[in-house]
Amino acid sequence: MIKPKFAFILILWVCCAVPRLLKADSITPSNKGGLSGNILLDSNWNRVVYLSFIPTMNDRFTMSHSFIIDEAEMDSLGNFRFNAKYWPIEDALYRIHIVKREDPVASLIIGGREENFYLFVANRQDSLFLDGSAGFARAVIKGSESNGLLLQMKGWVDFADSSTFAGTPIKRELIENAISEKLRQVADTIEYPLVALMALYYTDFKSNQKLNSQYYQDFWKGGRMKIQRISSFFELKLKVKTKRILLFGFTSLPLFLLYL
Amino acid sequence: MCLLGFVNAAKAQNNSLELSKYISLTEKMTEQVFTIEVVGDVVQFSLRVNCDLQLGEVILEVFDPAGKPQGKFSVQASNSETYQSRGKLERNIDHPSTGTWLVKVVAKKAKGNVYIRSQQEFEK
Repeated sequence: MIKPKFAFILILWVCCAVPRLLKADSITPSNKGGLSGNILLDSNWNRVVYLSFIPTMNDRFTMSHSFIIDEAEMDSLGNFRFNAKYWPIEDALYRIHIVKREDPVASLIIGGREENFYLFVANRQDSLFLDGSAGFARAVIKGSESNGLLLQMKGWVDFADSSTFAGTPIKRELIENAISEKLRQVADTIEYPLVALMALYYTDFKSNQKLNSQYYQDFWKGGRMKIQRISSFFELKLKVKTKRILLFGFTSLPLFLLYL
Repeated sequence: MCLLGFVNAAKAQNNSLELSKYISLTEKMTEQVFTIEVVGDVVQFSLRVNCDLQLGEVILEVFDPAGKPQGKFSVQASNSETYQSRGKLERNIDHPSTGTWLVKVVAKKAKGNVYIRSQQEFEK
């Protein structure tokens, strides 16, 4: 038979701890953290935004159901929100996308006027806002320096891309070299390792690895590449579990102290 | 290498030439390269590569006549034929390099379709 004292503690613990445990598991919208935004869309598009966790840089343009980790419905004004409670603490690469009414959920449109995705870097502490009030194609993420840099770099790459077929071959090469040099400077100086890595990817480092071998050697030696840039989703789940165990410990301890 | 329902189509109209290829992917297909000849005084070249996938994985890559990559994407199916995955790549290039453009399709146990459509607009 359970002693009255133990029964009292058990009931008290259930009353105090269980609601907190449930709260830890649920992802309730809050005004802080995560990605919120506003997108102006016409009737050709579904009013749902999908969030994908991109495991590696090579997967930036991969569309897979398995990458989609969340979805958010837009309200009548185009507002949406993703909560960051379960995102990794460190910076990781994410992609949001929207889909046309006749397209499957896992649809990626690269290039053209109907490009339907936006890549961004975020961590659990970030509070980002996607301003798509001028349309999804012109969307900008506000509230983070690293995403501002990403957008700037994309602008350079797009410029190099558009000039690829304009002018003489020498002019094209000069433009490409100048932009690659600029990107390497960014990679070398910014404090966000993941963005630095993306800058190097934009330089097409595979093709010019020999040409700039000293630069890459210094980059690796500098320890900037030692980051665990993207943790797997499995690790993410473990972190949530760890948090729950800690929460159990923290809520139980005062009760035991009270009892003693 | 195994292709089913491989269809080529060409349409010339006034100052433009439209070429399209429709490829039905089977699980036995591994790799195939498709060519598009860009010749003459082309003002604008549009290339669209679409892929609908029910099973497996497909990587699609576009190369210009100099062999430089001009776009790449991949599509992975959910291994359930109920949920389709779709990828589209669109490139619009003014005054493109003339020569042979390539679209490389690498499939891994894939079941689905690839549709390649190009349009060349010539000087009037």
